[in-house]
Amino acid sequence: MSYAQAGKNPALSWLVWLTISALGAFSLGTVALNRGETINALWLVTASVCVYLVAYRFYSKFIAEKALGLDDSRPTPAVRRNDGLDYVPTDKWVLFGHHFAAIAGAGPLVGPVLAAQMGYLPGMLWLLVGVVFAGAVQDFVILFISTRRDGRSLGDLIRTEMGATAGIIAQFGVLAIMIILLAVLALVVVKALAGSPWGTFTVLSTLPTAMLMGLYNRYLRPGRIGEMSAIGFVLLMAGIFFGQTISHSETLAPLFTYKGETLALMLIAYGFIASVLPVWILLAPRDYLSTFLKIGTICALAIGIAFVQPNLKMPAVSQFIDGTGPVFKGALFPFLFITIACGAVSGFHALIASGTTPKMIMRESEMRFIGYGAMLAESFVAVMALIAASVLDPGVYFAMNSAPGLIGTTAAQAATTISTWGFVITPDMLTETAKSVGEATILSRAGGAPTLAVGMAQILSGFVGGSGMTAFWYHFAILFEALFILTTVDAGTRVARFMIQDLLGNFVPAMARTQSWAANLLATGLAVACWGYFLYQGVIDPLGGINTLWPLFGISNQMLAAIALILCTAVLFKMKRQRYAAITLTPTIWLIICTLTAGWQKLFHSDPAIGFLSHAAKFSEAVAGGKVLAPAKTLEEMQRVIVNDYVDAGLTAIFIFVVLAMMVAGVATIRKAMANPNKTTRETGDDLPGLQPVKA
Amino acid sequence: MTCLDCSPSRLKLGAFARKFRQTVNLMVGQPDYENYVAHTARVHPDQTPMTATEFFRNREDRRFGVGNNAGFRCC
Repeated sequence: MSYAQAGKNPALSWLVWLTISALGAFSLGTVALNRGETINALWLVTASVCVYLVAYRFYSKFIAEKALGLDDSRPTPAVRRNDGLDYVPTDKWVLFGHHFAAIAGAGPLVGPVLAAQMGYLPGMLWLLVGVVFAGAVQDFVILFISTRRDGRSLGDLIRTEMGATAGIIAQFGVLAIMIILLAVLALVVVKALAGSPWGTFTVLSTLPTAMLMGLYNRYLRPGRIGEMSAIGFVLLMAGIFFGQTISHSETLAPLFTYKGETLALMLIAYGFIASVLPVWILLAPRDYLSTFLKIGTICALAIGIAFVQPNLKMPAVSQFIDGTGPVFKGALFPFLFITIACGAVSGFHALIASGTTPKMIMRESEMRFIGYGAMLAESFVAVMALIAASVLDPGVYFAMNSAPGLIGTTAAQAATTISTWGFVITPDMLTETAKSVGEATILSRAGGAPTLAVGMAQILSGFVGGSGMTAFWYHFAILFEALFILTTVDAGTRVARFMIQDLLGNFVPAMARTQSWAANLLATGLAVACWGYFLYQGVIDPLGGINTLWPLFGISNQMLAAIALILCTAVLFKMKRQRYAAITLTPTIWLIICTLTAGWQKLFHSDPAIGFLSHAAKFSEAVAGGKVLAPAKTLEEMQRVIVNDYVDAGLTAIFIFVVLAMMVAGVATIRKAMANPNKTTRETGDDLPGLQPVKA
Repeated sequence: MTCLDCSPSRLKLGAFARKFRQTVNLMVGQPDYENYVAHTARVHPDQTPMTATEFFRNREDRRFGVGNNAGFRCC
């Protein structure tokens, strides 16, 4: 049976799709061509939704039916291996929720906020084009490949389809990405909480809250997720309200006011402890809470934008597309495409799409809705983040996202500097904004989360509570981001620990024993030390840290996407469906160009603000002359800056090597597949009796 | 069991509520317990299924347990 549910009345169907396309084209045109005056956020929303609908209806259908040949007569792993536990045929709407909750995280909220320095238009266009042709395609095809192979993991798939060496290189690459991801996310939290007693108290209060939930669930009412989460939610809200009292108290506020360095050390210690504790006491309950809060807040933001219909104050395109922007350095190409990773295309999704989701697909045709559809939804989250950053006054946006080295540390200095960039702002406006969100200052709160929080507070307080609630909404947004970032940090540390044990187990078998406490602690310590190193380095980096780490994270995430898409392309060739290879090959080539160019520039660019090596050279030269360059205060600190530069450069070189190695492996696999006249891929279920062979 | 109000809209609402509960649970990695019990009764009639609590803990450990992809979520 054809699963394409053709409209009952073809003429009507054509009319509807023609209208949607026309509306989308008109909205996009309005967004792109609007100059001089402010534009309403609804135009961006309408344009995005129409693009998603048209792409889903036509492009994903083409991929599903022609390129992949989804076939509902093939039993899926969930059906064949149904065990009621891991493999469960699941309703597509229920599974959509599961998959979306797993792929949506902090990434799509942070990237677009940083990219807003170039104006909203470049980011918006990349989000739309990227998701339609790269991100959603990757998620969909990987889900397909994994489902056809019993729900095997990405690493497994690469090993079996492209060879053992490619498998190990990919495994190593994933670990490196994981480390950078954890460091940069932890840095986002540190940047949001430094010097903020309200925020710090609220986030700290989630620890006893989660433990209480854990105990409740363990001993009082096991399995009552709803009850437990409701209790947790009430306690969270209480935490936000009480946090305000704390921030106003002269005796209590200093107890919760920390510098970035202290917060970083606290986070590192926390990450270690949380990931070795039994999961039920802290990790699991907080995961429940953060998942529901995340979904709820995303819905609230969507409703808020629809009701408030804010105007965007950011210009469509700013002068910073030339690479001189204060938020991150580097020109539009390639750095816009690196900065906005999640939301357009995210390699991490390949791990999810080859994780639990493929084991629950009921019918092959439903992969289209879950793989392609969920990624469109994530892209929409990113568009909303972009809107939230763009409704801010640009002056406020740049004050929040520029390093103190650039704009100074007082409102007066910041206002003067930013006004010379053409974004007129007064010191009063900066202090007023800080006051309205209940903070002492908003200067240099880089990392995306605080900016998003101010934007969200503006939108949500226009929707519920008015300006009196702005401070509450701001801290609600900070809490919401911190909560799920911390969940990622401890869950991610656990995952990194298993990866390290797995990798080291190849050389020292004792390390692979996951039941051994010594091996556990050692691997956890290694994982924490790795991301902790980059986190601390980022915190003390006077250029902001996010500056350095976010591009590294972006490069690594896009690199993983390139790896996943290389696998997709290789499998299409092995299936003898190379006629359709352009579907995955085009985004592969684009991502390879972007990651290699960005990687090359991060290594060798002559501008010390972009290239790690020229930055190191500049500092070495100064050391040789006995000079101390800001931000360093002593020659020792100068040495540390140089070492950090070389470490970052080394990591970038590793990323470049991994991409190149996977490219070679991909080409070799494709050549081998082409030399063989027969289909060379083997899918589980091919040999099932009564199953039609896949038509090439 | 007799159904007191079996109007189609009531049934629809019940089915929706059930699906909603399943969605919320699966978002945090908990598959449907009733489905598991039904599955065990159908396929392994000789086995006693886990109790709801055992099932919950089994799935919780699985989500955050050993393995590269266990408990993994995106950035």
